[in-house]
Amino acid sequence: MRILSFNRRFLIAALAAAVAAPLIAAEQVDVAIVVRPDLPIDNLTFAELRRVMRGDRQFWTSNLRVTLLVRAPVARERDIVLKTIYEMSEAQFRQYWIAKVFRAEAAAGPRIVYSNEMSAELVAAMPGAIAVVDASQVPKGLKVLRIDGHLPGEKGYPLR
Amino acid sequence: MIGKTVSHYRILDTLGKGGMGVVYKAEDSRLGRIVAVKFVPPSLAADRTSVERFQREARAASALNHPNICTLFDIGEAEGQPFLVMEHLEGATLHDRLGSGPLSMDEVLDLAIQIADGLDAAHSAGIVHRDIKPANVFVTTRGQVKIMDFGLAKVSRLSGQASTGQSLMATAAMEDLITSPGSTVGTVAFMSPEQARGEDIDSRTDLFSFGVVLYEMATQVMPFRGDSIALTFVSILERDPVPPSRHRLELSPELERIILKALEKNREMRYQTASEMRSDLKRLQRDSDSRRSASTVALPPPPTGARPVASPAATTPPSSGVSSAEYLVTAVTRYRRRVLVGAAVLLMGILAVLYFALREPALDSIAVLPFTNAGGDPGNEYLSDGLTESIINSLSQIPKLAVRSFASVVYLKNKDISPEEAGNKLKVRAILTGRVVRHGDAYDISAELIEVRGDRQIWGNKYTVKAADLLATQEQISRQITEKLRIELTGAEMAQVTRHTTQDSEAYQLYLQGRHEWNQRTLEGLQLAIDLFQQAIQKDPRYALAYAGQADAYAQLADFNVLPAREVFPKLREAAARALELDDRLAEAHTSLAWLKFHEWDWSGAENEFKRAIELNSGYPTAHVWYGEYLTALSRFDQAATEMKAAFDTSPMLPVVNLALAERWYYARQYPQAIEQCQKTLALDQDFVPANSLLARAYLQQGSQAQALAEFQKALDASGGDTNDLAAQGYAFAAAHREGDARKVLEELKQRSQQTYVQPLRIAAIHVALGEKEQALDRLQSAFDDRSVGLVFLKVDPVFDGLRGDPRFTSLLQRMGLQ
Repeated sequence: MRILSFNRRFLIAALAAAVAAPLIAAEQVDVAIVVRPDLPIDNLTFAELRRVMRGDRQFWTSNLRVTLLVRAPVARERDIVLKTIYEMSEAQFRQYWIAKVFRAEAAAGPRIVYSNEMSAELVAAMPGAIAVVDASQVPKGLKVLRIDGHLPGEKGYPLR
Repeated sequence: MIGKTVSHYRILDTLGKGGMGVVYKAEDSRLGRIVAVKFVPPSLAADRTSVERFQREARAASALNHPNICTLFDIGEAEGQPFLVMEHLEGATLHDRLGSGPLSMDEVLDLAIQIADGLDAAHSAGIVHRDIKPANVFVTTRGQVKIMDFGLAKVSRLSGQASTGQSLMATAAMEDLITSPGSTVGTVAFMSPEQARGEDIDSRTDLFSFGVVLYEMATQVMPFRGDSIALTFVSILERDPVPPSRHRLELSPELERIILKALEKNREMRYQTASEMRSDLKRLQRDSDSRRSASTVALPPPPTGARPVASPAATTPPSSGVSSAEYLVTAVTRYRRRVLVGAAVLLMGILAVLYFALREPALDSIAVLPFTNAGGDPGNEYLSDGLTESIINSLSQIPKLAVRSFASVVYLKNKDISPEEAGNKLKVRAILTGRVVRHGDAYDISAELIEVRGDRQIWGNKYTVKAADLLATQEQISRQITEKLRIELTGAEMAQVTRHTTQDSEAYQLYLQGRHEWNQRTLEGLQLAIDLFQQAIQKDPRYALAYAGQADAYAQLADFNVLPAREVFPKLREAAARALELDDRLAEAHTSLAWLKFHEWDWSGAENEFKRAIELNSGYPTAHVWYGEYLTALSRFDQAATEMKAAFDTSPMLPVVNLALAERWYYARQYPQAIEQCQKTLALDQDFVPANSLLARAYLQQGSQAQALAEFQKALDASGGDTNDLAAQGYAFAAAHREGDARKVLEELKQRSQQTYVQPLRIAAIHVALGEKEQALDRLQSAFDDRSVGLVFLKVDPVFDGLRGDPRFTSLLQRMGLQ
């Protein structure tokens, strides 16, 4: 009985997902984590990505500092980062970074960028930079990191 | 003369020599400033008429106090040699400036407006220059015009019309003397027709000469020329000038109209006043701004027959070789007795002018409206706001002047409101307006002081400055306004007005940006402000105000509960102490320190600092508001009302001040008044979230739960999910007996506390409303350990009424010094 019930719920959910999928795909593309191609990292676990984005890990290698680029408020990329990686409200996110810098746990907060193009340009120009861009707009010449072994669009990819 | 000390002026260098004196650069050893000292040459000093003329120049000039007129500081006599002490100017005369190339049309208008302004001031005081020419117009390195050499000035009737009538017989005699045949004064090519004919002259003569100057500024060509004085006279008296647009193709028809109107031979057809001419020029400038062209079009070659006037030599009256001053000296020597009579009458006239000028009451209240960022570049907002705030801060140092705070005027930014309306709204007698436009690495700054009654402009000026000169410009504006407000200040008070605490322009700009961000009262602004103040300190480690700004930013960190206050306080203390170490007269720094002591529960120490801050600057609203909060926390509600009112009188339109009034009503348990005041605050600024929050608390205490919940929700949505607002909502749920919702909020706060700071005081309030006394007291103990900012109101906060009488609560109050 419980199995049947589960199957029925699963079927309903699957059908709903199938109907909604094209709409979601059309409006909500995954976001990609991009870095320079010369960064010696191709894959991060989600936990490691959180440590990087929250400023807890500040170096890629002993002499290569992480530079965070985060979109300005209202951008969908920022909303996804706050919701999935930081799990914070907008106000909390600001509070978090002010406190971190005040306590000298980080030299500075994330740099604010205002478009995917600006993100891409800065990543290309700054060794160690990492940004979150719309996966459908990843410019050539940048490396998209796998998260938990997945690329954007793949099943199990966590940033959407 | 070089190296000698005359009176207390040490002569440093020779600046120039003219027919009526030698001018030296000197140092005023008493005030430590550089001045210009003008001596009558020994050959003329023996001549009493020259001396009298010299003194007449001094009296006439001393009656004038205007930014576009060279200021006279002193007059004296050393070893029989009379001398004048004037402000030392750096730059060049307009004569020299014209000799170095054509002016852009923007420059022409800018300088012309300033000349008109200076003439207007002189004419309003009944003084006619009579010798307006480019050599008598100085342009400082900052682009400020200074009309010089009122040595040929005469005092005429206040109306500025020709002198007639019995009572002015002696003056008329003086005019006869000066303008009698053979003793014509003024450089010939700039003379008015009536001057050339030796007739009575009045202020309109200056406007004609100004028209000639303007013609030359626009075209580099003189309108009236001749190979001899006689032929030049013929040209002035009989010939119409060539339309200036023939010399300069891009010259606007309106400027041409203005020039030709000024050059009307019949003075009844000419501009009647300098202010009328200035209005036309300003209107043209305003219209030109919208279609401004940055480039200056090269002058076309002059038409056949026209002789371009490009070199200094060419501007000298042709073939005369005799200065107007020398004509005068000759005449004065001949008519010595009549000079004495005339001088006496002149002196009486000056005294009369001074009497009427001084009889006007001082303008004892002022609002500086936010300067307009005319270029529209949001990146320059900090500069327009910063200049406004700096001027406000400087003027606030004047004890006899009520100055509206920046925050109380900021809501008028970019509002289309007349000075009269703004003045009535802000209840002040004077309004200062201004605008800032950036052109590359230079800034055009203009300011205008208007007396509200009568909507009358009493001062206006325009500056073109590089970034490095912004500080000096702010100081200059403040000083000039102070002079125009007719308020008598001691030297120390004036020094306080014009002081600034850094010489580093970059540090100053960073500080201005920091204050701008701090004033936003948002987390984003706070984040930027901290960074900018730090940069300002790095630029100038001795910049007291930057440390005070940093202390204020840290106070806000604690107030917003970004971090536990105990973590913030050491850095706040360090910053405030450093500011005071550098400048112990800084009201801002005393206020920051007072805030710290207040929240460290050093009650007497805090009160002393608040009082000191208010003593230093009674117009600083933050000091009054925070002192009012302090008194509220100690249940000294009547005294608190006095302080809140003082803040309100300074800043009636400031949301923070209005909210402080509401806060006092709230803690005094007068909820209807608190609600009304919160609503007034929101009417001023509907996005001022703290007012929603306090309104909700007042509704709740009054028993209006539905309204309270709605307001709490508004606050939470508007703040982007701020933890303090979330906790306040949780308290409201509990008070409204929605226990499930309240516990959800408690859980959410618990989650948040793993990543960001959650003030225990807020959680304690929820437990109180849920009737969980022990948990509430545990949380209050944590708040005590954290030095939570809100604890200072524990004695008066109705939220904690459920705990009163409990020994742990009483102990807490005792340990804070509140019981």
